Amino acid sequence: MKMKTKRINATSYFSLLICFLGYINISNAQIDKSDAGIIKRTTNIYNIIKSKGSGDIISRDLIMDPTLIANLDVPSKDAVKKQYGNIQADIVMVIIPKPGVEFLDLSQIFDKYKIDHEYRKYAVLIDHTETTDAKTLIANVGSIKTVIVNKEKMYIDIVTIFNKGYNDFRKRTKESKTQLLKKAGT
Amino acid sequence: MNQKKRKMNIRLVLSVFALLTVFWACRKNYSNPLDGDLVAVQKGLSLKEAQAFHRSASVNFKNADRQVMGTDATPPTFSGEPVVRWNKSDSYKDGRFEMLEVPIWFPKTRLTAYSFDGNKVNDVSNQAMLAASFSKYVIYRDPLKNKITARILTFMPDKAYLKKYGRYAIKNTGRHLEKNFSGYIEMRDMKQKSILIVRVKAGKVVKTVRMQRRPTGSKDRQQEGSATMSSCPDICDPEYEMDCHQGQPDPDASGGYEVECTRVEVGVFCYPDPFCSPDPWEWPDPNDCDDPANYYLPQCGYEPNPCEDWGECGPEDDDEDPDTVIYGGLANHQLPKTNKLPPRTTTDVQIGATCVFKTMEWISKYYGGTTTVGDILLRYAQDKGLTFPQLMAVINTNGIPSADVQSLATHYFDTASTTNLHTSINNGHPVMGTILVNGLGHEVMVTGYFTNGIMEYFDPETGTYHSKPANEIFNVIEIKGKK
Repeated sequence: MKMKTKRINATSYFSLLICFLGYINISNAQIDKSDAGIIKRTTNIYNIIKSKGSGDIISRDLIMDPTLIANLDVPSKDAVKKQYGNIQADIVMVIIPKPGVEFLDLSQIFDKYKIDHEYRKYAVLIDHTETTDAKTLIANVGSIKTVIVNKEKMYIDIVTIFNKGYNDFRKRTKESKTQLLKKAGT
Repeated sequence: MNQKKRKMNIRLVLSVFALLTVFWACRKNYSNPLDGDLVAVQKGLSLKEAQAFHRSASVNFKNADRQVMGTDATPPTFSGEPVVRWNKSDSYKDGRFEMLEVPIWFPKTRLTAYSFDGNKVNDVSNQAMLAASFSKYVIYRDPLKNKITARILTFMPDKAYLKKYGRYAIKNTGRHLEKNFSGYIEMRDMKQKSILIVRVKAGKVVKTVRMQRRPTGSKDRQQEGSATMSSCPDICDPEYEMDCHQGQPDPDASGGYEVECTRVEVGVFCYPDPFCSPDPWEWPDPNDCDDPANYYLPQCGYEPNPCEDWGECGPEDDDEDPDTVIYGGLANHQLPKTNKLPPRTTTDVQIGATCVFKTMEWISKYYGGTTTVGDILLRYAQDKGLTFPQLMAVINTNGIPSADVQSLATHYFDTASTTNLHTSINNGHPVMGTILVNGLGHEVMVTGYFTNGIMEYFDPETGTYHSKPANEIFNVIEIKGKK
């Protein structure tokens, strides 16, 4: 049976944000700093997923196949301020998924991949990359390849189906950087 | 499977996000998300430094005194020992300049009642207009040159403003213009050389023109016109000599008391019509960056702040008069559809490290298109099979490959390769190009060039125009139109 996330509208979500301000999140606090292989999060993103009839979902850590997105809006900071109040983010992405797209939240992901409750307090990574606020993590069904628990370093890595393209992309951009520096004579 | 009601524990992570190298694609705002709009307060010139400068430079004022009744080609505009109200000084930083601004008045001054727009109101006299004028002494240090210079700013509310609001415009300063202020600000250096006249409408700088002074003469000169610019006869406006002295205490006046003046018309001040001249922004020697008059030129390193030279900082007012928005930059040669160019200053800037995408959005607008950053970003992510956190992480560290920019551009636009940016601009085509900023790559929209060949570009990150030599703009793509 397919799992469906609970839909939470934006207003109540912001109330929750305020209520939980200061709440210590185990998901982000216990990454083993000795693991230099963990990729740092570089951008503070809020993803607002709009869905007809069920309000908005806000996720700081969204795993989503971009081909399942019907429309993407990246509003200016002024527009964000007017529409969403005091979100402090580098980027706010307003996403309208294609019809029928379903999401899993973190507990559903843990359930699906049978993660023992003992380990659910570990830090959560996505493709070996830090999360911003894993409690708000959602993923579209079908975007996750596997979930790995590293008991020694105390993290859970959610491996997505996108990882291969990501590495190739990183490689090409590094090459482009080198070429541009050469062109600029620096 | 049971559908359990799930409670999503939420915490707002107030973390300082990393200062990441943004290479090809963009710089990003290296701000703590918690900082919001907070900007570190930066100190301007100290009062002690300004007073020391004033003491050493006062010889210039004395020279002015000797020349006050002369008939040189550059007649003096004030004389006598100026009265500087140091207790009203305001120290601040504007761009790279460390400033100190203080009210000043001169026992003897010459001012012109310009017949520019806004002054064609019959029931406000020239006398009333000049009576409402006031001056500020701005002393500033350019850290790049380690040089302190001073200017006199004379604020002249226009007649339309005076008719509507009365005479009190005294709260306007070089740092802050009140939102309803309309008039002119004349900038002079300490040797009486007129540098600029800045037109202000509704608290916004809308035009900056360089005035070329002609010899002051009699009214007969008005009929003579200009021998050198027959197609643009000189304008000759009445010039007044003002004798001023300290009057009654007045908290609203600069310095805490009234400055009472008598005004006598002494002749006319003639100048080429700045709105008729072939190129009113043409400077005598734009490459002489040691001339203080040129400090405000982009090729001399000046970068206007997002609030314009002396504009009012802060968010745009919702009820702002749309007529006050200026489109395009300052270059002599700009793309032809000026009103389709990005505004001179805008808060609609790139989000995160999306300069490639924002540049394309502005170019789409130039050609009347509606392609947005979101459209392009989505297409790119779909094409590369990336999630957005992945995409943004890569852009923030290494940018996107130049080949990908080329393919994105050709998807949305008709493009051409170009080796001559001037030709592309002359053809009326904007150009996408990469500049290096502190060793990092950044995509911009090239929109014009100055007479000396320097290119002007719109920066999607700052929301303003800047300039660079053509050979410092890489990976250029001429955009001929939208698909």
